[in-house]
Amino acid sequence: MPTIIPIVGSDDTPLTKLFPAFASVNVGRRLETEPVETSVNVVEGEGGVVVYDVISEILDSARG
Amino acid sequence: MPGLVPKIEVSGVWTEIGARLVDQTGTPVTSAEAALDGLVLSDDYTLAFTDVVAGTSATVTVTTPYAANPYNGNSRSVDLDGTTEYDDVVPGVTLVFSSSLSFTSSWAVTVRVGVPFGLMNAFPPDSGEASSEVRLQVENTGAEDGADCAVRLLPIAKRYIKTGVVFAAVRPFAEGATEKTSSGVVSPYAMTVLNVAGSGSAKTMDLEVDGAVVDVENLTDGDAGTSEGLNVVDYYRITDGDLEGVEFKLSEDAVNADEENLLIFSAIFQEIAPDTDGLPGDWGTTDVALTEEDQEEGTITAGGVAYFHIRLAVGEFGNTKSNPYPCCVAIEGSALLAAGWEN
Repeated sequence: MPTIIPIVGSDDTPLTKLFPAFASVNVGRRLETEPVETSVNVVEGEGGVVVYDVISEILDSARG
Repeated sequence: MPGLVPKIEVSGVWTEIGARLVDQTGTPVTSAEAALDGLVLSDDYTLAFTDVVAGTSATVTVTTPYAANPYNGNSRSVDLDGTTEYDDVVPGVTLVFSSSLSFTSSWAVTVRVGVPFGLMNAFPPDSGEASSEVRLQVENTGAEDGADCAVRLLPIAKRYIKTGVVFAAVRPFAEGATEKTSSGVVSPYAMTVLNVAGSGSAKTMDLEVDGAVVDVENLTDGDAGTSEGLNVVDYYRITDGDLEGVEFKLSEDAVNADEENLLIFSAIFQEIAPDTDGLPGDWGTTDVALTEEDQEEGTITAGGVAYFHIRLAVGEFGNTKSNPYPCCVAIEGSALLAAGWEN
């Protein structure tokens, strides 16, 4: 298996200038890719409120 | 575009994720194309139309499910001519609106960008559960076999335009960049251009990050220097400071003092898994090789496909202050060219 040297930032243009003319390596380049775009909205939610209410009640109870 | 393209299965058909039209009433949008310019933000963008004069013009207004999206409420007049391209209705997506004489204000459409995961809870007892998982396909649409193909979780770079325009594009990931926060909120780096000289593709300019020049490398010729006197033709990579790893190309439309925000989001919610006979293997955050069936690990031949799985997991007391939080996933691969004797 020949050595593959990924060259960053080159897209479809091989960066041959980075390699000497007689280099005994195999030259690769980074493939153009698309990212997987995703996102999330992170919320506090009602669950948290309930839990804090319960904790508050316990603390109130503990304090007498 | 040749290369590695992620796809999602829609009604039994593997469809390019990019920007998809869903929930259409009529056909108000004839083309929706996501650009790789760093502006696109995954979400559902519902377009409503008012002041409609079919075949002439309308006012389009954008609504997102959760108001935190910075583009929620975007509104502008558009030509209904089937040809004019708009890239500022849903930034990062180029839209063309229909010239149909049947166009009415009852027409609507949702532009689904990427794979938005909606709401997740960061507080107990509802937090801690992983989202539903999504199986994705990666197709090698190029003419060359891909090697070292992998899915990676990397810091995410997102642009937000403030004044004019600074960049033609910012690549979506920046390995080595640091998320900036203020009181738990992901905060922007101010990107400003100064000393703009020349015109068109011969323009040069200085780029400042939070008011200071940085070190950069020209990715075409490999030259290293500062971010002064940069051109608008080549891609550059920032090589020092908190934005190390950010790769960009400046816009030839930029003028003095134009400013954009650049935000870095750490990959904190995503989990990825390899595909085993259609099912996810072990979930984790380390690189997952993309391997076509019956090929060596990491190989996808020209025209071939490989699969992986993604889900989100928000732990207790996760960051609720930076919505919508991008959770993008990078796909990488190399093409073997030739032995170096002739290169």
